Parts: sequence; C-alpha cells; structure tokens
Amino acid sequence: MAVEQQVARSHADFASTAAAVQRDRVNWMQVGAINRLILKQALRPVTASSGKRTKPIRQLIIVMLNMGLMFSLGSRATADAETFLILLYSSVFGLIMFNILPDALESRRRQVETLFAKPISPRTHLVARTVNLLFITGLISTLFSIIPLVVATFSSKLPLKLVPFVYVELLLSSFAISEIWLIMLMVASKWFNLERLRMLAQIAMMLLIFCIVGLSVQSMIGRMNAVSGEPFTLVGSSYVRFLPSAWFARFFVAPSNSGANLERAAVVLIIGSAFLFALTFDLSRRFLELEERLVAANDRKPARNISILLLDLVSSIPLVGRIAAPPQARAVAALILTTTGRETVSRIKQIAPRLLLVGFFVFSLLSSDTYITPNIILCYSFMGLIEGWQSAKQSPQSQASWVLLAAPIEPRELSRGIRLALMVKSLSLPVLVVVATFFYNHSAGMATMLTVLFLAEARVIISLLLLVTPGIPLSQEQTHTTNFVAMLLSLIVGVATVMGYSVLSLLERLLPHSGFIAGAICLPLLLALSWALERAATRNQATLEHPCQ
Amino acid sequence: METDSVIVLRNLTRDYGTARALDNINLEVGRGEIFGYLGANGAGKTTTIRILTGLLRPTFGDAFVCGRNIALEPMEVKARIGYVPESGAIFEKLSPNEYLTIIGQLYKLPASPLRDRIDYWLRFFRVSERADQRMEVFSKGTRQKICWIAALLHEPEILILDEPLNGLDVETIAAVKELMKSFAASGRTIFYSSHLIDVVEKVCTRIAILQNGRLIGGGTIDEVRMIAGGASLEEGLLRMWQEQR
Repeated sequence: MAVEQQVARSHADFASTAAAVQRDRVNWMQVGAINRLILKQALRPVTASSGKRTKPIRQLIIVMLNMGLMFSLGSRATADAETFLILLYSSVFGLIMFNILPDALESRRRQVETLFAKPISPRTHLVARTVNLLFITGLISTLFSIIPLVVATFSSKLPLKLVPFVYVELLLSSFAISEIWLIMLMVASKWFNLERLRMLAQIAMMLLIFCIVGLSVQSMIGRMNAVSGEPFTLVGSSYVRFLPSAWFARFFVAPSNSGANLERAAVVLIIGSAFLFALTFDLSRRFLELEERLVAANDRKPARNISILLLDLVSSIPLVGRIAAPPQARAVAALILTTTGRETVSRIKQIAPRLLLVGFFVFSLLSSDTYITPNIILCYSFMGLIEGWQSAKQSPQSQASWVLLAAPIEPRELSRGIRLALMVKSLSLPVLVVVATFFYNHSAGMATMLTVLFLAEARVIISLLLLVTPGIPLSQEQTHTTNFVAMLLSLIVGVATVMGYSVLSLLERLLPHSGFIAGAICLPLLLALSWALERAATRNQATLEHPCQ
Repeated sequence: METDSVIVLRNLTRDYGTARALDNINLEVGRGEIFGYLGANGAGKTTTIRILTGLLRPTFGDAFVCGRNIALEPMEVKARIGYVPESGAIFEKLSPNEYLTIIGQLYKLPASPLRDRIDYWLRFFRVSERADQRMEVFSKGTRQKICWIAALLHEPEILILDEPLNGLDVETIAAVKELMKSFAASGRTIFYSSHLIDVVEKVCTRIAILQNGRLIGGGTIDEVRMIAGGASLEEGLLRMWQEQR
C-alpha cells in the first residue's frame, strides 16, 4: 500500500508540470515505485490450504541453487570449457524462458487497475518493465549459474580470469534473450493470438533444450557403451552451431576465425539490439497495446479438451466407469481438467515433461539402448505426475476454489477426483510410452509385470503427494517456479524407480523369470503401501481449510 | 441438538495466529427468518460465514445448522446450505453451463432436473444468452449472478449470503429482494451479511451487530432502532458503533 501511495504521490508531482506529461519522459521515481510494487506482488508469501505459508523468493533461491548444483554434477562429464558453457547458457536461457512468462490474466488485470489508471507515461511503464526484467533475469541466471561457475573454476575447466567476463555476458544475454522474446510477442500480438504465440515460443524453447539434453545423453550412452571414461564434447557438432546459446557460450572460448567471429558479431548484435529496443526505440505504444491485448479477454465458445473427452470415455465404460469415476469424483476431476486445460501457465508446465518423454521414447527406439533411456522415460513420467499435482493445486482464480470445500464432498471423493484428474491428464501419455518401451525391451510376461508395477507405483506417488503436499485443488496462487518439495520428491522417486527397474531388468537378464517373480513379490507391497498412504492422505485432506488471501 | 433454531452458534471463537477474529459468539436464527448480520470492515462477519459454510474450522465453540454440528457432520450441513461469497469468485475459464453443471454434480443432483434448474435460473437472472461464453468476459455483476445460481441449484434449506448484491444492477437487486422474501416465506432461512443498511432494513426480520469479533447487540429492526436511539437503523447503528469505540 505504501508503494501505491508512493506511485500516487509521484503521480501528483508528475502531473504538476506540463513537461512531465510528455509521452517520452521517464520518471525514475515512478520506475522505482512500480518495480517495488511488481516485485512485492510477485514475491509476497502465500498461504496454502494446509495453513503453511510459503515464501516464493526463498523457494526460488533454493530451487535455482539446487538446479545449479545438479547441473554442475552432470556437467562434470563435459570434456572442455566450450561444451560446459554451451550447456550452461542453454540451461539458463531455458530457465529464463520458463520463468519469465507474461503474468496470468488476473494479476495483469490487478496491475492494470492499479497502475494504468494513473498518469504514468508509456515510456516510464516500458523502462520500469525493462528494469524489472533485468532484475529478474539477473536473479535467476545468478542463482542458477553461481555453483556451476565456481565448480568449473575449481576443477580447472574454466580459467579464473574468464569467469567475470562469462558472468557479465550471462547477465546481459539472459536479459537480451528475454527482452527480444517479449518484443517479438508484442509485435506479433498484432496479428496472432497471443496465448498461442506464447505456447509456440515455449514449445520451441523446449525443443531447443531437448536437443541439448539429447546430445548429452547420446554422448554419455556412447561413452558407456564404447569408450568408457571418456568425457563428452559438443565442439565441432554441426547441429550445436545453429543454437544461439552456443554463440554466446563460445564468445570468449572459441578460437579466432571467420565462423567464430561471425557468431561474436551476432552476439553483440543480439545484446545491442535488445538494449536498443528497450531504451531507445519508441515501443511505448506497442507496450500499451500489448497490455490491452493481454487484458482483452477471449469471448469464443469454449471447446472441450481432450482430457475431458478421455474422462467421459472412462466414465462411460459399464461398471468400471462407475467404480473409477463416481459422479462427485468425476465432477472434481472435470473441474481440475477444464480449468487447468484452459490456463496457459498450467499448460506450459505440462509441455516440458511431455515433450521430453516423447523425445526420449523416440531416442530409445533409435538408439536401441535398454538401460538409460527407459529409466529416463520412467523418471520423466513420474516427474510429469508430480508437476501435474503442483499445477492442479494452482489457479489464477484460486479464491474460486471455495466451492470444493463448501459443497458436500467427502474427503475420500475429493482425493479420488484429484487422482482421477492426474491419471487422465498426467499419466495417460506416459502409460502409452512406458508400455511401448517395456514391450519393446522385454518379454511379454516381464513387460506386463513392469506395466502393473508402474501403475502401482503411480498410485503410491499420487497418495504420497496428497499426504506430503496436501491442498485443495486450484486453491493456490499461480507461481512460475518449481516447488522445492516437488523437486525433492521427484529426486527420491527417480532414484527409487531407477533402482527398482534396473534390479528387475538385471535379474531377468541373469536368470529368466527371476525378475518377474521379484516383481510379483514387490507388487503386494506397493499396493499395501498405496492403501496405507491413501488412508493417511484422506485423513489429512479432511483437515484442510480454504486459504484466506 | 434439540432446538427450533436452524442456526445456532455457541461460544464460537476463531483465531488467526495470535489475532482473535471471532470472540465467543452466541446466537440463534429461527426457521423462515431473514437474519441480518452487520458489522464494520474486519468485524468478523466473513469469518463467521466461512465457519458456517465449512471453509474454516472454529478454534473454540460450536456451530450447529439444522441441529447438526458442522465440525462433526459437515456433509449433512453443507448439503443444506447455499452460499453466495463476498468475493464473487468463480472459475472464469469455464462457461456458466459448464460451471453450473459441475456444481450440480458436486451436490449429487441427477442430470435431468439439474439441466432444467440451470435453464430456469439462467433465465431468471437473464444470462441465458451468455450460457456458453467463458465467464472471464463477464462483468462483476454477471459473475455475481452465476454465484447466486450456484447457491440456488440444489434448493438449499438455508441461504448464507455475504454481500450478495455486489455489482448487481437495480433490476436484478429488486428481483433478488423478492426472491429472498419468497424464499423465507416458504419456511427457509437466510443468513444475510451486508453493509447495505437500507436493504437490511427492508428485508431482514432480525439482525445481530458485530464489532471487533464480538456481538454488541441484536433484535428486530425496531428493537435495534429503539435501543440505539436513532431515527433510522443506519443512524442507530452508527451511534452504537461509536459508543462501543
């Protein structure tokens, strides 16, 4: 509120002079006030329905530092500074594109109501936004890259004298990439549906990341199968040369030749144009148009999404439909699926695991690898499930979730509804991919056992999620960052899955049918665990309150 | 709980951390009443309503609806209540038809009467022609109408209304006032929280006045007016609040 008053006060000063109302005048006091307001709104603590208060800034710091740590562990396999930097820049750009999304419609409306009614010049809005973007991109890239850069320096992969230059370039390039992306959206929004554009940009970015991860996995598989112990390199890879992140990465480390110099020129051009666009060109009008376009709502008749059709299909199966999808649970699932299916941030969050899943499936078919890629596919399946629950708990209209507590729904039915929604939304594609992978790599009997174990583990994971991270569906404010608990769970589930699958596969290979028998022994244990967790989760669900926001 | 009262609050207390939002509230609301629940901002009206609707649990004390304790038999209580929240919050990405169908299913309404009831109330609130549009394009008043329909779909015994006229146009307010009166005339009960004293004065049979989480007075409109010594209910209430401060 104090910031709002400051904005209003500076507005009064601003309005008092005729010169100040010129369109191209920047009021730095307003820039500061707007930035504080936006940051306070974005990073304020949030109360969940379990009563716990979460602090997004602390989450962001923990998540990014952890991701940086994991990255530096993985990047130990890189052979040279160039490969390390290519992976680092690609990861930072990917993270930035995922985190710097235009705000959800509700918060945009709030911002417009708060700020756009005041006489703040369009350029001041633009500069404020630019400063805000510079701060956020700087924060994310610093938090993520600090550990990898330190580790790379200590392991002599990156010369110490290069580190400050690399870091500054990282900050500038992160800003430039996000700025250019937003400008592209501004310009393109005149002709194209903005929500679709954002989706396309995210898919393109995911494909880019997949290329990098795929190349790394390919190198690692090659290393494991053939030349054991040899670190992998992306130097000389003709595909990598086309990635803008590689141009930035090679800026300080590539030898001086015409190709590398051309890339350096491109880097300077990209950073220079980003700052030029941000600070010189009159994009103020477009900026306002974008905001108006963002706020302008969609009045088309809504279409039923594929998840709802799948839910209807499950419900219509005689007998099974009534057991799997009783009316109240089906209604809860339909609400979650329809709302998250039409909400861009939720959709984008689901794209990453899905694309990676399909990508690795194709990769496993092409590479005939029977160990690494099936494990990765399993891990991404469960990561998608965990991410699915995080998305299902969030909504831009989180206050509207009162209806799920005010209606006479037993906690058991609410849990069933959540489980049903997650099964349909986050598990239907993985089931297809995982079953195909199992049947491609194992005998029919073993593949069937592994499929049943996969489904039982999925049930255990959903119950575990409801127990450890309880919440009313769609009741939390939407965040773009990954939840720390969810990340930790992904890690634990990933390790357990990899160990389980590897042991069963190895047993089956060493002694035919032994893997099947071991699986048959594990199955009742998993089912018992799932039952116990489910009961505890349902008891937990009954204690939830609707969060006051 | 053997009583003629439809809503009974006994020593109802609610804390938010160290702050006490409701302090030892005791009141009873009879069948067929339109009961006004008044208080300044932050007095605890919405907290009371959130406890009655099962969104919050009391820190201490009990809330009974139709003789059932909300903490012990929440499903039986929730099935009898229709709630219009102050926020008017709905899932905007859905159309009214989609949203109301899901609400009906949550209240276990069979498909056929549900469709008929949705159509009836959409016509009543004059939003039939927008039934398939996403609600994100709706004005605040239109969203509030959808909240009203959602509260009425399962034909509740008790309506709990928290600032239910927010954003509604004059014509709809008049229709809603008539609806409230006929609802009460049919033996059902309305628990009505509002700042609009003139509306409360016209429709409510009895009121209770809340200040800083405590009940400071109550009775019929005439009783309160007389006790507070004001020419109108508004004047009386203002005087009462000022004296309490």
